[in-house]
Amino acid sequence: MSDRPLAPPARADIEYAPSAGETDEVSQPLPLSRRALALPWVHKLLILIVLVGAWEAYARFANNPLLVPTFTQTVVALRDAAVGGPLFQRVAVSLRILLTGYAIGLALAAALTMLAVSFRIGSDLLSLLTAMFNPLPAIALLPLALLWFGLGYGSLVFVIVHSVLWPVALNTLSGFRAVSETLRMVGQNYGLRGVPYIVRILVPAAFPSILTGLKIGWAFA
Amino acid sequence: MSAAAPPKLVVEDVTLRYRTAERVVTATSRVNFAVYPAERFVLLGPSGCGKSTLLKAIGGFIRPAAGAIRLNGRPIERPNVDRMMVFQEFDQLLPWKTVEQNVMFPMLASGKWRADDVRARTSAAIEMVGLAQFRGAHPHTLSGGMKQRVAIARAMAMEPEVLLMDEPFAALDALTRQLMQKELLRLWENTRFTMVFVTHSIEEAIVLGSRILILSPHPGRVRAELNAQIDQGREESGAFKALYDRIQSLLFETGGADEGRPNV
Repeated sequence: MSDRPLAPPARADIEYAPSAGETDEVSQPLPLSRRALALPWVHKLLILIVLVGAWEAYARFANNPLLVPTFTQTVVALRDAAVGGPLFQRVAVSLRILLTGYAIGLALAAALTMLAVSFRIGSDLLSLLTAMFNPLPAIALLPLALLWFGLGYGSLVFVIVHSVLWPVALNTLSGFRAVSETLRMVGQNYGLRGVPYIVRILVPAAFPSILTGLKIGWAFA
Repeated sequence: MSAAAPPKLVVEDVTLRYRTAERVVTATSRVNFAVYPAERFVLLGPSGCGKSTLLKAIGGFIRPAAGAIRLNGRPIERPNVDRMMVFQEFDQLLPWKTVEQNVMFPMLASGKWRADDVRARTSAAIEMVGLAQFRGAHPHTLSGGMKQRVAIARAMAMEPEVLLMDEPFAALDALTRQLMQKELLRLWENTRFTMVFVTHSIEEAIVLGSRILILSPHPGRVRAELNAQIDQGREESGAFKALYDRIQSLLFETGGADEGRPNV
């Protein structure tokens, strides 16, 4: 304690001339390899190559083409089905059903969430409906859909609508709710109300969660 | 203060209440004041005096429980572009739009100007706040001070009847705040807009205000309305200090202890 300084030392003022020319380089580019590694698709491609390698290695080790075909055999089979085979036709039929269901699901989700942000009762209705239907697996609805719409197109579209509608509506609504109070007031300050307000302020502001909803919906469809 | 021109904004006996889950809270009680053209009207008070709530009521976001707010003689019913608001929060810019598009958006949305006018007005407004080289930047790449500049440019480009400022510099660092206050005064010198400015800083109130309304808390009531037209750039002057002390005592005194004091 005794050697504690009593006061800071008295020192003279110093002033430097403002920005006297020559400065060190403020920023410099990273080497190409580092920049390439930072790209997400490069990352994903590397992981994919490792996974395919593991698959190929295990299939060769198991040596049972019926249960575990190798990667190369699978690629050959895909090529055979694509060239000359019926693959593209079938894919087109599936895609048409898928897109129809997706479109109807999105339209319904948009209508429901617009109701939900505009009216209190709409919001209660939507949370009740999503709570009831979101956990319901689409496969459980299929028998019912078959009874209602018969075998084929209609019932498949119905099931897809069901699996798209709820995740999209849920994510969109939670995105709308997360829009900051300030941003809402800014939008109202511009004199926007009703549908223009939703389309020009809420939708772009909530876009990340809407996109999440669309992705989840697409995966379920 | 010449009262020759009619007041632009009249707040008459305004009581504001807001509801929480359990109770109704009175934010301000029977507040009266009038704002004249080209005035820099400051609402000053400690937190809880309802100054921000009052500003939001002028903005049309909240309806008074009693009393009336009139702009140019017409009662205020809902938010609109004749009262542009600048908020404290930096997220008041639309993050998906560039600086230029942010300034343009309310002009286009309101349909007040033709498209080519909007272009010219946008460049002028961005130029005015010194952000010409950032016109294509998105808000997240800007500093706090720059964001507030954009918000001010956006509001001023609309040529609102009143500019409403809700502690726009409170979240800035002290040096930037000082700079922004100077800039705002310079803009006012050039265009002589009417502004209502909310702050809890006595210093900011004196630097920026031409008239200061002092509110006392719980619930907000008018404590005093002072003239604050001090020569600009003379913050060290005696008048500044005297006004500062007077406001200080109005804000912190307990009850009527100040009544017998001579006027400063």
